[in-house]
Amino acid sequence: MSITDLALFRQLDRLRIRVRIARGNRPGETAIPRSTQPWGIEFESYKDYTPGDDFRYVDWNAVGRLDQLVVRTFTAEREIPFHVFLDTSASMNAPGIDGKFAFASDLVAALGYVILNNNDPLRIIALASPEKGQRPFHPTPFLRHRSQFSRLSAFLATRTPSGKTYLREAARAYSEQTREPGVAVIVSDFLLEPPQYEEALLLLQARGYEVKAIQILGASELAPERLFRRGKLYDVEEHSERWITLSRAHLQQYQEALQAHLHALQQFCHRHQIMYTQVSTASTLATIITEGFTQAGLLAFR
Amino acid sequence: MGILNPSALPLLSLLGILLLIYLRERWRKHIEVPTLLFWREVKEDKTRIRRFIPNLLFFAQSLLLLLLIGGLLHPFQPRTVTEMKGSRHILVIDISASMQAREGRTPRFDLMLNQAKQVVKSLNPLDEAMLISVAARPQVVSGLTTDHLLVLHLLETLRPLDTGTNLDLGIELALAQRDREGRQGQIHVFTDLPKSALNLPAEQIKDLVYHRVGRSDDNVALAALHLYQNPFQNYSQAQAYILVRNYAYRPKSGTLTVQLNDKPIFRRDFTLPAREVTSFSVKGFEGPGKLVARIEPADALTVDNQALAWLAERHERRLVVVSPVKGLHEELIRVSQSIPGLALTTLTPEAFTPSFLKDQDIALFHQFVPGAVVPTNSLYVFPPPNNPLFPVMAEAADLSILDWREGHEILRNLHYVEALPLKKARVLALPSWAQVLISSRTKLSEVPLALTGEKDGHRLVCLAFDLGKGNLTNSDNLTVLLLFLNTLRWLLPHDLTTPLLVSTGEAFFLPSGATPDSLRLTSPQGDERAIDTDSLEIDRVGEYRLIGSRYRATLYANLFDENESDIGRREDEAAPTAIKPGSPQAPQELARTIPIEFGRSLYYGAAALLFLEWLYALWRYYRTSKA
Repeated sequence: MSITDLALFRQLDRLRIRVRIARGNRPGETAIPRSTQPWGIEFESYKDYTPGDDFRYVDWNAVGRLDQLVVRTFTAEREIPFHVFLDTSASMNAPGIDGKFAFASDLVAALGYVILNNNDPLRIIALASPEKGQRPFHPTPFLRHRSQFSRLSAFLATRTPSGKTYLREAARAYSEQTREPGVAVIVSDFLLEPPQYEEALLLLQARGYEVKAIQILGASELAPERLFRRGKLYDVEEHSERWITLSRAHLQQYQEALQAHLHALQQFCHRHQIMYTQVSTASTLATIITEGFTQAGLLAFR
Repeated sequence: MGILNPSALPLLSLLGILLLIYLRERWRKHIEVPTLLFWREVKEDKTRIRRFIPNLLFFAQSLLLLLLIGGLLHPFQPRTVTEMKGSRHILVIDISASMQAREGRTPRFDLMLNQAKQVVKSLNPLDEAMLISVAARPQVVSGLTTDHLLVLHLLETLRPLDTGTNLDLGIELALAQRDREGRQGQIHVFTDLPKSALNLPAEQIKDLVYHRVGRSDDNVALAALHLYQNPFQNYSQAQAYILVRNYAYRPKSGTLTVQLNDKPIFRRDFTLPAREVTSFSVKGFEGPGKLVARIEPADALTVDNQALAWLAERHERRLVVVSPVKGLHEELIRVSQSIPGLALTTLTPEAFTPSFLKDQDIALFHQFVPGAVVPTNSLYVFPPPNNPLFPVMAEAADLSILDWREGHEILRNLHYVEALPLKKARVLALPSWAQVLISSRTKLSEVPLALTGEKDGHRLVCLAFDLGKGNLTNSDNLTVLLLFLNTLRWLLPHDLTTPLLVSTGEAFFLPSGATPDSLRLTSPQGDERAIDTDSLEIDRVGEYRLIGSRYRATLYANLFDENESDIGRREDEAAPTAIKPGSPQAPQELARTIPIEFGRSLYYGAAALLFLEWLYALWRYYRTSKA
């Protein structure tokens, strides 16, 4: 995302991420419907006075009518911790002409801006190939204000896609060390064997995260005839090769396999109440943010 | 269709290189994909993909390469074109000395020019004319042209020279020019020579349009002026023989005058019968100088009425002889006593030092070779083994002379070269600067017996055989004595003040290094011009003067040419051709095949293809950017 793209920033200023169940422990600015707190701005309901309640919130009109001590309660406002997982495997950079990783980085930056602009804590977790004794991810510290957007940008700028996708291992390792779950946004191409992403998503959900999956697909992945007619295909993660001639029948076979994979992911997310959206690098970032994500329910206007 | 530049054909191999590049790229290049998950069901097709299947870019690049190579090949399409051409007329003009003869009051040359002009004027406007002048050598005065006025003008500029003629060569040149490009034409020969004097095949002569001019035979000429004076004789011992010939078919009389330094010393009236010759002898000259013989008959040609010669003053010629053989010393002293003007110094090798060579004209080294080349003309006789100048390979005995250079000055008047006594001889390795004068032969190789050459600006002669006792003075060995004297004569340094005798029509070659010196030539007519070539064409009789800071010389040019002086050469067959203006021939339509080269079009095609590629790439770029 270009830092000079002020029009996009103005649009992002009006947005927030829709959260269904996740909440944090610390007071924040996100109103949590159907949950109360003894102080606040927005009136929620009454409750019987119990010793220790603040006398200032006793509703004396109600006392006069009911002859019973009741105190006002307010809608709870909490901060929502956001954990944005960014796939930095080599597959995010193949084929190069799609610019998938750059697109994903821009998308994460835009979402990060929305999150920080709503004063929610944000942590970016770059999924990485685990080296010896290392964790399979590189996280940022929690960023809590829009002013820290530059740190977010700097972190994204230093990421280089390489290695295999370790989504399952990263989800497990990260969830074990994080005490406060929140919203887990996974930005990946999800070009994995289904058991791998299923296990990762279910694990995060089991640990109390509200999981949202954003699948990035390149234009050449959706229409490989744009990329080649015949040639030696090279899997950048598995380092395997396959000589393919892209005939009409072969293209049909590819499309069927791809659609089956996407359908399986979509069905899985639907079954497990995981928000799922798919974006293509053929679209523009502004279109995806303002139309795609709002329609998918990921973003809402403030 | 053909090609003009087949040397560019190997460039076609670039197509093979392009193909190899594509194949290599195909085998090497892979397409990166994020996963092969969705391609597992697709059947792999390794064999078909490895096979070369050209794409549009390959075709474009191959076409571009073919167009460029095609342009380099200079392809052409033969095309037959027809054009109107007139016939060719080549005029061969004899400008030799005999053309100066007068026919009554008109010079023979002017008569000939008038005839030539008539021929040119009668030509059709599309006819091409060419002008070749012939004296000692032919010269193209004008190439084939339809500008007849130019040809007429060039005819006016021609003047007869004082040389002989080589008409055969001029006609050969004209025939070659006429038959060029397969076209036919006419050759007009303007000369005073009869057809029978031509030494050409009959079928060539019959095609000639022969214009013979001149009838007069009225000429008396100096046929020769011989001055007998060898370098050892003084002017008083010299003797001049003058030959006067009457070429007319009637008796002629005249006066012979001989002048020495412009002072008459001999005058004799003569009357010669028709076609007769007489000689005069003049001797007892009182001093050295320029000798002019002149006859004054009333005849038609004056150029051959005068001849020049130079009467030289005898200078003392100094010869130093270095030999270990006392007998040879004595013999040479006896020989030198009979040669006036020859001062002889004899030395033994032990007594010899280079200082003895100062002011010497010739050095003779017998059985001895000094350590270094001496700065004088030298004769080496029977050089010893291990000498530094002539490497001795072996000794030989009783050799027979098998070959010699007959025209060399040293062998002049030697009628029995093979009679030279060769009891002992040394087999010499031929130095790079030397030439073999006399040689014998063994089973293995040629054996040089006498060598001549020039080294460091000095003449050298080497005789590989020995001069035994009595060789020079024995009357039986006259050949050896003549060889010895001729050798001394050849070795004598040339006196630059002595004029050189040349014949007109010859080329005089200047010594090397003379021309860069802004050499100037004064011709017999008194014209002065700078010389920047290595040779001079001597085309006028009389005295030429060459003056430069490094070189100066005087040339006496004489014309003693019987063919030129015999101006009334008669022919048995036909009388001189009467000049009739030729009827103008209609221009002929000629068809000829010309190559139409279209290599440049291929270059344009290549440029257009590149432009189209650029446009396509631009379009692709915008389309991709937009997407």
